[in-house]
Amino acid sequence: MSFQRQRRTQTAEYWRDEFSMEKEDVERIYDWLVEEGEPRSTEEISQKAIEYRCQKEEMALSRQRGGQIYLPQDSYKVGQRVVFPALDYAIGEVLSIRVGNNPRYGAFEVIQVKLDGQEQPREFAAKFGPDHPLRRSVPSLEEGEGSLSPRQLNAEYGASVRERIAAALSKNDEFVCLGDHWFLQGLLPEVPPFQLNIAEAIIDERRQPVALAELYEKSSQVLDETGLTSTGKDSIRSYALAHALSQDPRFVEISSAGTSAWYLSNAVPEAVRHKPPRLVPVYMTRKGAWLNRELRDFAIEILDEADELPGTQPAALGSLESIQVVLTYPHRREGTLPLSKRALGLLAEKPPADRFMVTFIDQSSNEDMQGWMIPDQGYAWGLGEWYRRHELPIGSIIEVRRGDAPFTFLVTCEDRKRKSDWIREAKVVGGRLMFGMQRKAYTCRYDKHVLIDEGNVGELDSLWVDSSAPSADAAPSALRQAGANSVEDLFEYLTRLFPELAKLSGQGLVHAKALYSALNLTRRCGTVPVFAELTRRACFDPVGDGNWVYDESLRHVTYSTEEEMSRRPSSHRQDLIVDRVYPYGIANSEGKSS
Amino acid sequence: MRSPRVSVETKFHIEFAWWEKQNKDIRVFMQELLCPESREALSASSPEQTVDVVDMETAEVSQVDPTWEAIRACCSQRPDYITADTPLLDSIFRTFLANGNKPLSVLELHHRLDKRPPEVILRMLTKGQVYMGIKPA
Repeated sequence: MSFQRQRRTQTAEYWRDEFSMEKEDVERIYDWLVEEGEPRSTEEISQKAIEYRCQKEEMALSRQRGGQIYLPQDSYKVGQRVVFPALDYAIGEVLSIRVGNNPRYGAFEVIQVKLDGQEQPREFAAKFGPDHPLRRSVPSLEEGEGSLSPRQLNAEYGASVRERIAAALSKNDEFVCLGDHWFLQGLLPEVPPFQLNIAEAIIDERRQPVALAELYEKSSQVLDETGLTSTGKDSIRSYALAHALSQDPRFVEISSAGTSAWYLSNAVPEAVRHKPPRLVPVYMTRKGAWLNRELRDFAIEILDEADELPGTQPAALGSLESIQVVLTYPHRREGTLPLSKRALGLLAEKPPADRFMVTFIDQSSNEDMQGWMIPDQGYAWGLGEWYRRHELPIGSIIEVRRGDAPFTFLVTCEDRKRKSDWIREAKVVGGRLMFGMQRKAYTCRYDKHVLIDEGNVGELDSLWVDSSAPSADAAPSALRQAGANSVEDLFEYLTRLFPELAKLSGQGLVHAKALYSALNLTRRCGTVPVFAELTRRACFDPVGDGNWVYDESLRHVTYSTEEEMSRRPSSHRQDLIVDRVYPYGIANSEGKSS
Repeated sequence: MRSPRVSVETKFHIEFAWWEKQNKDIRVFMQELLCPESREALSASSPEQTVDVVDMETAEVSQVDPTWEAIRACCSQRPDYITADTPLLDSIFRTFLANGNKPLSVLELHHRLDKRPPEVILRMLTKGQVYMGIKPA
């Protein structure tokens, strides 16, 4: 009897659902890496694994000519040869047929089959009526025409194959992985401890991360000079060096975007290795959030890096000579400087790595300060001591100017005569954030609306909520387990915060920037989520000059249309300012991208 | 020979030899799990009779006790088969009955049952006496 069938390896189901890394696959990859003698990427390995599976199926097919592919709905005869794709193409002979017994399936038969190479016969369903996955996984198609090549299969289904390969090889001690390249532990040339010491000295002398290629070249030179030359291909010895560096706690890999560079672990501050949780927004900025015109202008002026939408392109290299930033509490506390994508125009040279060292120069004293820039994460680090020395409060305006030398930046807070002023002071009373006014004097320039004296930092910490905290509507057990403050709804929090700030003004006014600054004392948040709440909630009304008032009676009213958010029909205020509203991050008729 | 170290990835199943060794009849335990409809349907059949069960991956046929088959095909589909109040070890036993005693790791049991952390499940299955014949596969 002739039959038509589609190779299983030609189906998406095979690679997506059935494929798993068997011992045989791992052995094949092992042998292949031995033959190649060089590290190979997961992509290349997945190509090999797919080729291997396709070859295996071909071999099975060539063995089973003359046999019938087993399908549970088909009928069989005693003595017939049958091929079982689901049993790795095992072939067997039908010994007997009996009536099946299970009322749930209806009438069916059971064939007893002796599989080649097995002692005990096994039983399989035949003339089986109910739906069964084998019915679907073996559609008919003549082999050959229209079949995808292993390369095409890899392009089509390789993602899930690569995932499974990486999972299987990472559990196997015989394989090592660096970046995305796999090799065999047993084939790695030995890296003498002396070479690692040389690498350490090179990096230490440079005081900058050093690219792997350079580290390899220079340390090999020293080895050659001392007669300790090791043999083998440069690519493998370089890979072995990188592997040895990765295993040595003295070193840390700094960059990732295509270039591997290494630095000394003890020289990389924790806040550079990992973004401080205090800088990670709890409330996300959304594209299209409605902001009234004045608030939109504030958002553009403040340019909080947390307000940048995914896909925002950095400014062209060298497009800016200087920038001014307003210091918020999270950055002041972490000793970091916000780096919006626009601010990256300050860089005249292409960043050498994802994280790289820079020199800040205090313009008033000409003193150098070692720092780091992490542009992708939106901040620079290394100004904590400078903030303290100049007693910079929240709301300080800092100017950053490009220096003459590469990756050098002049920073200034524009020292002037100390001037006393009434300013807001935060305090924690009974576990709640409250505010008072007191006279304070600063020598720096500041934005008076953002300016807040943070008071007791330890007490503020007790109210801090970062993005890892559970949401307030999480299960009570999750909240207990987290042992931390929960993230409550932004609007709920603003309705508690606003009245506290309003107490400081005789007319109950709160400036939008002050609300944003106060919120950032206990939760990291860009301007847009705060300003969007002000715009869409009827309980908040703009009354001019950036000031807003709160009406508890309208707490449950939300404006949903552009017209409502602009005209604010529920307002009880005579002094209401009617202002246009704009969707954030979408270019408008004025040509401005709000 | 030393037995391999058990971990949350070690697969467990119901070991029938344990039931024989304990001189216990697993069918007595299974009877208690029958839903009213299956109980009635089975009352007419002979206790010695078996039924054919078709594997949903390979279509291989195995002959099993009709009570077990009823649990697998009918009773285990009911929402009250495993509830939030079902003790953990009972839930594991019922899970194996429902899946045809296919070995499952502690991690897999944890994901299915969502009752306790994997480490707790592992400790309950490996420390102290064997419960309901649930042993490493």
